[in-house]
Amino acid sequence: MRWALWFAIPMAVFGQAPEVSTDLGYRFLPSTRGDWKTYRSVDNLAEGPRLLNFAGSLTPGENRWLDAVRLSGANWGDPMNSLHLTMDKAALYRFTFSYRNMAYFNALPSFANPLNTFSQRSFDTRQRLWNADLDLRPGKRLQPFFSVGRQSGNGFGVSPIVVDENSYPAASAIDYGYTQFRGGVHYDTERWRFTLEQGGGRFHDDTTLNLDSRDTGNRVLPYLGRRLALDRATQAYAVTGENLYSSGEVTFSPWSWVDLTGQFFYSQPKSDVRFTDNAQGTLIWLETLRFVNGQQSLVTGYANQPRTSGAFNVEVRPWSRVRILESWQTVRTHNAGAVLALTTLDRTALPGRSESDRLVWNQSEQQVQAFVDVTKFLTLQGGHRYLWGDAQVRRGTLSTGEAQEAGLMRRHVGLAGFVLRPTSRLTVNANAEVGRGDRTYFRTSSQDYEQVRLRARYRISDAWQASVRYGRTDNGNPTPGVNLSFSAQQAGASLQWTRQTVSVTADYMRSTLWNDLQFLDPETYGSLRSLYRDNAHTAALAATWSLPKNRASLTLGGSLFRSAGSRPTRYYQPLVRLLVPVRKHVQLLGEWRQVSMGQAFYTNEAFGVQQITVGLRLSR
Amino acid sequence: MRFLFAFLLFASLAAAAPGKKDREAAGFVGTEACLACHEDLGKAFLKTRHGGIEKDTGRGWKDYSCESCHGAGLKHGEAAEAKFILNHAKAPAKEVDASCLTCHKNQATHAGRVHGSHSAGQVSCVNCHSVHHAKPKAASTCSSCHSDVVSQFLRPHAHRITQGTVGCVDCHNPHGSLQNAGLRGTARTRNNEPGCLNCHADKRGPFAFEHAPMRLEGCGSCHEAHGSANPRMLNRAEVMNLCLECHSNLPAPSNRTGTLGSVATGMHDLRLPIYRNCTSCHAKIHGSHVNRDFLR
Repeated sequence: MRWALWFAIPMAVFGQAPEVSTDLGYRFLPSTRGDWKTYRSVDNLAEGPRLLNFAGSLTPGENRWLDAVRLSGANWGDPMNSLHLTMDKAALYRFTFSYRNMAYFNALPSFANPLNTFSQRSFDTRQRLWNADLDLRPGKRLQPFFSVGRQSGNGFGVSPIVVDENSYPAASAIDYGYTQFRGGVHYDTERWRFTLEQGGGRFHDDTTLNLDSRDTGNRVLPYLGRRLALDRATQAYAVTGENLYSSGEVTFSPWSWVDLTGQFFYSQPKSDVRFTDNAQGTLIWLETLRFVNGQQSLVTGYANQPRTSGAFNVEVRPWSRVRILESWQTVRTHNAGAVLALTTLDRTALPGRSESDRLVWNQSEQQVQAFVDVTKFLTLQGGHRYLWGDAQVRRGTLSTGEAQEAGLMRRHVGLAGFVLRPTSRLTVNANAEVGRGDRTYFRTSSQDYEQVRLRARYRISDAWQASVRYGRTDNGNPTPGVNLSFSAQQAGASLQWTRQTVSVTADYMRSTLWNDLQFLDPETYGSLRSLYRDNAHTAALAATWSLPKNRASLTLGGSLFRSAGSRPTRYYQPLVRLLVPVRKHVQLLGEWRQVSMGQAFYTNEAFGVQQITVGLRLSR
Repeated sequence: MRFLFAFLLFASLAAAAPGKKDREAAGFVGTEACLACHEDLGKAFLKTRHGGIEKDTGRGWKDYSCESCHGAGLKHGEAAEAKFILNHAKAPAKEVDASCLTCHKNQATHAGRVHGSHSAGQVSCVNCHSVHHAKPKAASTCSSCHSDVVSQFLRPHAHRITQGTVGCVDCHNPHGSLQNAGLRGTARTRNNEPGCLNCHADKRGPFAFEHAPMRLEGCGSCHEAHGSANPRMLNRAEVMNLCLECHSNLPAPSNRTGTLGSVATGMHDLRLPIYRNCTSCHAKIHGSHVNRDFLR
């Protein structure tokens, strides 16, 4: 009956039935072995009925209010599903609505503590996002636009409650949301255009943590002769925030050979927080090294973060073969926050304590680039980029001196590259950067680096196409005590063969990563070495045989990932997909997929799951 | 307000569209003449959004929609030769871009075009967009060139782009952005916040106690956004190394070198598992509303 309405209503209103295609199916998991929590953290597809795909469109001919309406969605019943709707009428309006629902499950023991059998930082949550955009008078000179959207997350998890000198995994109830709205106007003429936009948002986070049975926490050794423990505890956040922003953008083309673009953006997000903490058990109050049985805190605070950014770009084409780009941009972020904490120990109130913090970050970038068409098939490019910035953050707990630490960044980068098109079948694209800096924000930041990327595509014949790519980045920081040495390289090739009824796509990539850095052991100040290596092979294959008009098809393929180094991993996903016609508007679909993973150091997290999906494709 | 009104009025008058006689004098023949030979192509085009140009009086291309992109067609029609008309599929990228940007230059999605690697690499609009057809090219458009990135998504811990709900353009603006790697701002023209916060709203802040790398170098300073062999898409196999690689400056020298990141406190005995997993205690590592050490 409902299906009939799908067609009857549009027929009555628009005199036309919609085009509809729907994939319905049922997924079986006939074989599941290994660690189910790891499988859910990696893939998470479960058994049950599914609305795999649906798409419908209606394009009524002459209609005053509607040119086309399109509705599509995917994976309903699965952890990640979506819905999209677009409606438009030329020169009148364009409306789009999108909804996404993403389950986020992550409970990998190896992340929080390899010696524990469960993760102390785990999540079983849902993130929902929706957005509605309305553009009025699209394509006209004056175009107003409006938008409203929301991102929210809620669910459960495990997160630590930290009470002096020990941490206790507790159940968490996660609940946050951000609603945003914006509106503005585009104004276009032939020579200049501008966009003005005003928007804002409201945020809340009401996450709570709760522990209601005795727990000795992660500390295995007694502290001053006593075993620390928590009998019960709660923590509750009540965070609210708001954000107003304004932005403007202007493009001006005074002559055919010059384009000027300017952008400005200002926002002032702010947060207010009220946090309560109640813990009872055998606790230590570190400041006086006194054991207490109860500790309560009430923390109120705020944070303001005005942010300003701007950019100015000039593109000049003085001759037909030469293009020069000059750009400048800056970002300025100033964060100021303060909290007031009232603490009670065993029914004795301590004096209130306030704490404040600042983060100041100013960064600018200037870049000039020139492109020269040397011949019809060769374009050379070269340029220079200069980045500079400064930052102030609160000093570390052990640092001495002023309350703020100052960080600096200065880097000159040389740019070069070429695009080569000797024939219409071959394109070679290469670019390189050489950066030299004498200041970086962090020890792992880019300082003295070289980067090269090359990509070539060759159409061998109408059926065959091949491409190769290569990329390498080296970065070093020779400062004594840092001695950073970073090197990453990727080399890969793709091959595509397409005939009328058969197509094969194969891809292979070999990647290596090496990061070597010294750091200090916090307890002894002795130098330790952090060496991270990742040498990986990745391959993917899809071979499809299909009947004309895609009425029936068979696909074989899948992917494999195999790595050695700091975390050796094997991850395979072979699959077979089948589509068979049953009747004029009905096709039978089936898919077999195996997902398996194994890790040399974390054998307890290995899993292998087979998925079989069978269903019908209904189309009209 | 009066100034703004006068400004708009002046701009409108200054940009008055040429009339039919001007067009004919410049060698334009009109859509009807184009359809005489390219009927199928033209009819499909008129069903697209661009097809609205054919009836739009405001743009000045009414009845000349084909030539609004392909240029004047008189010579091409008379000689029946392809060389007299702009063919976007074969023309150099800069000519194609110039043609498309005649109208699209100021769209917010194109704001960072000057910085975009597609612009520098001469990847033109029609490499990704299908102008003559109502349906855009498939989402696999990006993967036809960026297969190296696709292979990163085939690692076990990755944004589940293969399940279809998240796509490349949710994070990247292919037209170019003022941020590195074409990362999309949190709204169309908002370029001073990482696009990651579009979905991860709880990391947005502002926090009373910010973790500086989040603002200064973005999420990529700790996470491999495309995919990793490490849980939580971290850059390192062990959390301790990720944190201590930065938190290793002795108290004083940080001011001398201008490098941020003080050494952790001496009570952290790295032989104990609890201290090898920093986020077991420093749970609010993305920023805390309450505690300067990110403990709650």
